[in-house]
Parts: sequence; C-alpha cells; structure tokens
Amino acid sequence: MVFELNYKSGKPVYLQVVDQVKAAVASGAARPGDPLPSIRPLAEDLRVNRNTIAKAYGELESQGVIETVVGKGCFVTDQASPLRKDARTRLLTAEVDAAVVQAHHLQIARAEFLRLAEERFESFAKRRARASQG
Amino acid sequence: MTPMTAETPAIEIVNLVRRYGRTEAVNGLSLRVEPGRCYGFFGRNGAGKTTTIKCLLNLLKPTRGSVRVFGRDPARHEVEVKSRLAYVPDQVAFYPWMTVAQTLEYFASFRDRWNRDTERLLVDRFQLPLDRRTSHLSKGQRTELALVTAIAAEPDLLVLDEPTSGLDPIVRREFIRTVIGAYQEGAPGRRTVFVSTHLIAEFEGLIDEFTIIDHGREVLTLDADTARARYQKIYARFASPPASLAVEGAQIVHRQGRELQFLVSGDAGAVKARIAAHSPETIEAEALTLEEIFVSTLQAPEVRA
Amino acid sequence: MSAAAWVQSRKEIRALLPWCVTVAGATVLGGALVQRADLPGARPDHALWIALIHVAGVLSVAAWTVGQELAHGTLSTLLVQPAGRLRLLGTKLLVLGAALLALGATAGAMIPEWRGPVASRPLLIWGPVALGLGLVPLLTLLSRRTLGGVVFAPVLPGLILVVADRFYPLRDGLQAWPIVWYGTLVASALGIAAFALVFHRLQVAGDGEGRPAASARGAADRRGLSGARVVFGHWTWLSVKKELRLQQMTFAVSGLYVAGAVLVSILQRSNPLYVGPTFAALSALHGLFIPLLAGCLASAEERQMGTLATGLLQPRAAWTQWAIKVGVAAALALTLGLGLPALLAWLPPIDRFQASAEFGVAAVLVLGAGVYVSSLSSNTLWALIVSFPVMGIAVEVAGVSVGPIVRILNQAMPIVPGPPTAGGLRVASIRAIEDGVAIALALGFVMLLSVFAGRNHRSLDRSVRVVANQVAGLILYAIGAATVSFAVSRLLWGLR
Repeated sequence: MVFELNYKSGKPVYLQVVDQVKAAVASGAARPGDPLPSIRPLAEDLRVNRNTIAKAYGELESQGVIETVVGKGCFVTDQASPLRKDARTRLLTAEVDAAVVQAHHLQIARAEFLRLAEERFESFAKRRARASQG
Repeated sequence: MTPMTAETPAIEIVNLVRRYGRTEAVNGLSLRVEPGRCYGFFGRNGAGKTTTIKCLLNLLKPTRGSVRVFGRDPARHEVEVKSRLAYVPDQVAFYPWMTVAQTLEYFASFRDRWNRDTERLLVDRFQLPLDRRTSHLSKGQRTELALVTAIAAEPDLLVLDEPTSGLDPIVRREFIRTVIGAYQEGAPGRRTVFVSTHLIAEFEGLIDEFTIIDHGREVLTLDADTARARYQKIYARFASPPASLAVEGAQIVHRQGRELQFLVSGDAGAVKARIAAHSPETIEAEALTLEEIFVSTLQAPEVRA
Repeated sequence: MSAAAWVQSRKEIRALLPWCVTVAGATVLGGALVQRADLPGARPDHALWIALIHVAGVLSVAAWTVGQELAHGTLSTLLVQPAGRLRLLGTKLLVLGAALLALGATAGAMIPEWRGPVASRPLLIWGPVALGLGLVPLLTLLSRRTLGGVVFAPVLPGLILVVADRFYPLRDGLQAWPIVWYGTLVASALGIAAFALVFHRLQVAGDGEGRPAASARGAADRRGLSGARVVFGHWTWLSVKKELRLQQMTFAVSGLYVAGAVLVSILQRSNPLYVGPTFAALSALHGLFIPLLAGCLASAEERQMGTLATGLLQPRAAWTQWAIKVGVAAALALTLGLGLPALLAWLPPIDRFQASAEFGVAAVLVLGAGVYVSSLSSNTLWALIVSFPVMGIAVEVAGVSVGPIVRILNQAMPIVPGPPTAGGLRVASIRAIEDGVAIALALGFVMLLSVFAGRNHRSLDRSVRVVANQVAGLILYAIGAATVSFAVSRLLWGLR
C-alpha cells in the first residue's frame, strides 16, 4: 500500500491516511486479511507524527475497516459489517454532499453528475475484478 | 507545589519577559505544551526563540513571567526538571579529545535512566565510529551524536533548537525518522517534542501544534490540522477580467488577466461561496502548508498585479 | 565516589593533565638546572625563571578549569545536564585542588631554600596555588576569557603588598610578607565562595564562550559587505580599529598598571622611606609583559573567536592584513610599554624609568616571540603559557651558544687587542655603531619571526616539519647575526 500525503489539501493528516486505506480497500488493492504496515515504520516512512498514524488506525478500527490482532499487527477486515451500516451511510452522505456542492460550482448538471457516478462505480468494479484475478 | 497529575502540561509559559539591557528579546510570551504532543516553535531570526528555550533550561532567568516544565520551575527545581528533559542545541559542542564512545559514557554518567540498547541501535543506524574523536566528526555526525545522547536518556521532553540546520538532506531525514521512531516509540503519549526550527517544511508532518513568535510575542498558536484547514489559497478564473472584487474575509494576493488568487485565513468555505457568487469559470482551493502560513502571517502579502 | 562522579572527575583530570604534566616537567627541569649551579651555562636568573614558570604554570592550569569550557563552547552543554551546579563546581575544584597541590609540592621540592623575608617562600610556592583555587576560576568565569583569570589574579597579592607596606614598611622586613601571604589565603577563600555563588546563578546567553554569538558575527559580516565603499584608506582604518578591539586585554592590563603606578606614587609621597615595589620595577615588568600579551593576542584571539577564516577571505592581500595586525600590536606594545611610563613620569615624585634602547629591543623581541607562538596556538591562554618556556629556552640557547661561537670566530679571525676602556669620541661612535648594528640585527630577527608567524596564521597546516623548518631558519639567522655583529666589532676595533 502506497500512501501519499498532501499538506495542501487542507484535510487533517490522519483523515488522509484513513481515506487512503479505505480507497485501497474499496478498489481491491487491499483485500480482507491483508496486513497493514505497523504504526512506527509507517510514521517513519511518511515522516509523520506517530500519534497521527495511531489516531488514523484507531479511526479505521472504530469504523470496522481494520482490526488489530494482538502480537501480530493490523489487518483489513471483511468489508461487510451490517451492524455499522448507518454510521457508514452517514459518512458517505457527507462526501456526497461535498461532491454535489462541487458539481454546482463546476456547473455540472444533475443528470451528468449521476451518469458520472455510474461510470466511476463501473471503473472501480472492473479494477477490483482485475485485482482478484491477477 | 503543583502535583504532577496526568494533565500537567509538559511546558507552560505565562507572560514571559526577558530583557537584554533595553531590548526585550521576549516580550510577553505565553504557550502551553501538553504531554505527548509535538510542538513547533517558529519565528524569524532574532524573534526570541532561543532566548525562550534558554529560559526553559535555566540558562537564562526570566525578567518577568513564569516558566514551568512539568509543573516545576527550572530555576528552583533544576535537577528534577533537567532529569526529565534532553536538549539538542544548534551549535553542538563536545570535548574535542573525547571519542564517540567516551562522549556517550560521559553524558550517560549524568543520567539515572540510560537505555544502552537504544544507544547501540542508534549508533549502528547512524554508523558513528565509536573510537573516533569528536573533533574529527563531520557536522552531521556531531548532530547525530547529540541526538543519540538525548534519546538514549529516555527523557519525557525533547527540546530541539534548530536541530537540522546545515545538515545534508540524508542526515536531516534520518534525524526526523529517529525522532519519530526511536524517541516516540518508548512511551507513546508521554514523549513530548518541542522543536524550534526554520525548516518548517521538513517538520510539517511531525508537528501537532505550533506557535509563531515574532518580536518576542506570540503571533499565532494553532493546531496543525486546523491551521491547514483555515488558511487557504483560492484560485478563481473569470470569464472576463473583473474590475474590482472585494471579498469579505479574503485578500487578493495575485491578479493576472482573468485569474485571481485570494488568501483566506478563517472560514474558507464561506469565502469560497462568496467568490462563487461572482460566477467564476473555475474555482479551486488549496490549503497553505505550515511554512506558507508562517510567511503569510509574518509578512503582509504583496499584491502583485 | 559514585560511578557518575568518577566519570566526570575523569574528564576533568584528562583535561588538566597535559597542562599539569607540562608545568611540572618544566619546573623539574628548571629546578635541576638551578641546583647544578656549577654548570657552565647556569646563571642566577635561572632561579627567576623557575619562579616564573611555577607561578605562570599554576595559574594557567587553574585558568583551564573554566577556560576549557569557554574554549570548546561546552559551558551551556554542561549546565544543561541534570546535575546540581554545586556538584559540577565541586568536581572541578576537587580535581583542580589535587592538581595544584601536586604542582606546589613539585615546586617545593625543586626550588632551593633561600634566605629571604619570612613567609616569602610559602608565598611564592603556595600563593599561586591559593590564587589558582580561589581567584583564577572566578575571574576567568567573570571575564569570559581564557586569559582573564591568569592576567588579573596576580594583581591581588601585588595590591595587598603595596597596601601592607603602607602600614608595615618592607624595610622592617618582617611584617609585610606574612600579611601578603595570609591576605592571599583569605582572599582565595572568599574567592571560592564567590565562585560558587557566581556559578550557581550563572546565566549563559551565547554558547558560553567569549566570542560573540553567531548572529552578531553574521551581522558584522553583513555590515562589512553591504557598506563596501572600496576605498583603501577606509578599509585600513577599520582594520586597525578591529585590531585595537581585539587587544582589549592589553588595554586592561595597562589600565591596571596606571592604577598601580598612581597608588605607588601616592605611597611613596606619603612615606619617604618606602621600600616597596618601585615605579621603575613596575614599569619594567609592565614594559615586558605588554608586548608579550599583545603578541599572544595577535593571532590566537582571532582563531579562538572563530573570525580567522572570514578575515582571510576578504579581498585584501593577506600580507597587508598581517602587516596591519603586527603593526598595531607593535605600536601598542611600544606606546603602552614605553610611552606610558614616560608619560607617568610627569607625576611627582616618581623615580625615573629610563627606557633604554636595549629595553626597547627586548620589548620588540618579546613581542616577536609572542606573535610567533600565538600563530601556532589555538587559544590565547596556551599561547601565553607556552611563550614563557619558549623564551626561556631561546635565552638558554643563546647563552650557551654565544660562547662557543665567539671562540670559533676568534680562531677564524686574527686576534686583535681588545677594545680599550678609555673614552673618547672615537670609542663612543664605535660603540654607537655596534649598538646600531645589534639593534638592526635584532629587528631583523623579529621581522623574520613575523614573516614565519604570518605564514602560520594564514594556513591551517600545523605540520611539525613546517615548524621545524622555521625554527632551523631562526637558528641559522641567529648564528649569522652573531657572526655579523662579531665581525663588525672586530672590524671597527681593528680599523682603529
């Protein structure tokens, strides 16, 4: 898993890590059971405060994306987690809202926006299929 | 006496004033560092950073105001405070006849807690020749040696004053990696870092919270993530060059033809909406890095037409 | 002793040991020479040299206790360690005390007994030890200069002597010296207490050294670069001003001399039977010490401050800079060393101090020696201390070698009747020419010293080979000069 931090994005660093892990999971680059880099080496590599990574991992764990196995490290969990669906939906709503506002600024109409969303889902599904084959 | 509870800040400075003759190097500085945080201390040359740090270490006595390290006054509880912190100065000085090994032994003799394993590990990692005299070490090696003596002592507070100035990029990276790795590893949540530096970009990821000091006074104290969210540059391109555009809460810093660049410190979202109300073709926002925040805070942005 | 205290004591011992051993060795050597008074080269002033070596050596070892932290810039590093300040102080003073007691015992064994005033022997041998423990570290710390303690500490016994003589005139022989001895002990005890207090409350703004903080240095450089109106005269004047600033300590010592001279003149005026230190003695001492100090500061002070490299990179010929530096030192030495006493002679009833040409030449030679040693030293204290044995050795070598050289030359040239003792204008003018030739040769020697020192000042190369070559060159010049002077004398007297 390759992380890239952008200090110009205005997003808190730990959230960027969280989002990148989730993106990796969503695109299939990280599959259930895959190990995540340990906190310390990742912090050293990214030259980021250890507490930031710890906070990111904590957030991922509370969202059910990863789980910690004592003595072994952190691993990606099974994606489906029905108990937390409403929390996940709430998070997604925020993202969708941001996208809708942006669409308005960029003067992209609703129909075109929805078409674009469909296209992106297709693309991700194809990538996941390829990843699981190869 | 303040009890050493879990909430005792690692550093607490209240209205510090320190005068040299008639000039005031520090003129009413207040800041607070919670334990376990990485705190950045930024300022121009001569702003009073080193003076402040020397007051923390009891190398200088404050003219007025109070300085507390883990709740204790460094002047009155000198040994207690110093046994809980370690200092890496910008001008590292060792006794020139001592070898690396002897220097480590010498500094270890002052400490109750000294981790020989960490010392060995770091010496290996930096590849410091144990039997070479310190006068024959390069500047980078001397700084690395100073860092080893600081970290092996397992202090609760690490005070760094311009630690990476004048070092080559590889040494600088290793330095920061070691602070993150070897230092923070020991007792996460209890290891505090207080770093004063000009190379803000390098420490960007490390810093949780920072204070910018200018002319002996604090100018800005913020959480790093909050700062990056609050300070933004907004680029907007219009269909036709706007005659004049005054947007509340933003400053125009660059204007070229149809493109405008705004600097926002505050509610970037609201400002963006206000700009959008003028129907630009495109509008983009970008956060400022800590270094850019530093520059824009201390230097009034010039409007370049 | 705990392991920690042992490690820290070991570091102090390691710092002081080389100096201690050098001084002890020099004392033993000098003592052996003095005791073998039947040697052809031995002279009574050897005893003076040993006394000088002992006093200067003990004071310099004491100065190095604090001086090492100043020279290496480690003062703030030391103070940041989690150890009580009094404990740090105690470690230093204990090790220093042991070192100085050892040196005192060595001197006591080496310096022969003499029949002098009561308490003068303990004063000479143990007085510097007491001063070294009590006053030298304090003064070094207060002045933030490695030389500070050594130069200013001896003032105290001198002051006590002068004041004691007011009440117990030395002609009575008995009272003043014990007063000085006990006074020194008391002052040293107070000095240790004061040192503890100062160290405990010490504040360190820069990196603790006597050199300006890095930013101030940078500012000075920037000023020099920005206002660069390249007018030669302007630059020369600034350079001279800088050199004068570097010679602060020389001015300070001269100031002390003036104060001492005034004090002595007051005492002499109030007590016509005064038999204490005279103005002449004071002026002679001052006249020789000032050139030595000025010479020692010339190169080593800049090297210690760290401004050497910046200075050498200026777009001016290095030899111009060096000439200005030596010129200012020489002018200062002559003005302060010889001119000041002449000026003070206007004060009533001071006995005259006749600055003869020979004295002037001696002063210039001492300056040259100081400049040369300074160009090879990395700090001023080392330069000052090394100058003493170097000059002693030079005087020894000259004394030992002149005899054989004269013998050899006598064999080479036909013997003519020696110069008549009767007077006459002829004789006087011949003697004047002889003196002139000697002075010219001596000045030439000093020029050669300066040239070699200039080369050392500019280069970072400290190889033994270079120094050996230079010393060989100097010896060759000395032999040649002696030959020339001898030949001229023989010629002149032979012509007559």
